[in-house]
Amino acid sequence: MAIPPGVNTRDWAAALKQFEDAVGSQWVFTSNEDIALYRDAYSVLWGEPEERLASAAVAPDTVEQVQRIVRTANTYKIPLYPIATGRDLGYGGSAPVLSGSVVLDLKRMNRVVEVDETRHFAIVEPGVAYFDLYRYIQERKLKVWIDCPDPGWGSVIGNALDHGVGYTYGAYRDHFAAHCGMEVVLPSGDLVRTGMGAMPNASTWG
Amino acid sequence: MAGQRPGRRPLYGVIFDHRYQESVAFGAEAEALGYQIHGIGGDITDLWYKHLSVRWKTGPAAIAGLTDEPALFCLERLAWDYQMRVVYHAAHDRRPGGAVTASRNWPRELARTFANHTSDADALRIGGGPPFVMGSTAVSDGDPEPLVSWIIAPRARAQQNLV
Repeated sequence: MAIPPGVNTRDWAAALKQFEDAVGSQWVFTSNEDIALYRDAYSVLWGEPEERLASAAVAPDTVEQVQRIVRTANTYKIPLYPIATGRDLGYGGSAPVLSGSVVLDLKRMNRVVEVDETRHFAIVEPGVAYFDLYRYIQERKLKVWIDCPDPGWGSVIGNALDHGVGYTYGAYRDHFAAHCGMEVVLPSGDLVRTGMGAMPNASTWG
Repeated sequence: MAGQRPGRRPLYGVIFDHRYQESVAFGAEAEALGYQIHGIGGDITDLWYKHLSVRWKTGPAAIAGLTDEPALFCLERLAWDYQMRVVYHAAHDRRPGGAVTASRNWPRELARTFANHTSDADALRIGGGPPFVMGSTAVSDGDPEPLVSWIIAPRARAQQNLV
């Protein structure tokens, strides 16, 4: 198992323990077999010493767990590499850009919070793929249309953060420009909201 | 699933690609053996959306197939989120005179081999160890498109943490 750059073994062990306390040991991945899943299948450095590889991966289920992980990483100066589904492959993959980073895998945060067919917005967690959002809409027979890109298995949030575009609306704006608010965990572990959802007692957030 | 013997690890489904005659023969034999088969045409979207994503949300379920590499690539990555892995993988050289073309019946033999070895006794070493290897594993760089036979199944640790 690799160790994040600049982190000694004692701090690394302490950080892993805190990660496990935060999410449960079954959601902290350190075996070579598990870490291999986060390799970039398209890496031009595949198998080379310079290939970017993770040291571990942690998969939280809630915002509070994300905050705990980030605070731990900040304490021990461990680089984090967040991914949503890790499958917006046209824009990047699940391998970190800095070898030794801990992948913050948000795949378990895959809940569709709300889809409003009157005002035409959706509130989704980062692990929600376009397939998931489509199923949610179809099951409720909502009269809305997803501006879907190629990778239906990719994350809606990940695509937006990558300034992705879809087939039906791409001429007007990319998906980052189409978002109207985010809930963000800062490196300190603090939680902030942007847009109207940041206002006290906002009724526009779920 | 019909056709299972006592103690066998059930395959939820067997995947074939109707663009390849060998794969079609493989699927036909699997169906004759009692397995639920799913045909694709390269694109796995329908298979994923209507079947696998629904099934895997309820728990791990092994699948096997004879497809091309792109289809396996997609299924493998989707399976990861359900803590499943490719536990067996073999590439089949289909060039004239290649190892597998020596036997026109190889896809059917392959299906029967899968059926005979997919057991809870870890004949496929599901849950640990290297995947077992059958013959005809040479990879072709030319036409026709190499096919790969594969099994995706839960690993021992993986069964504890399903999304």
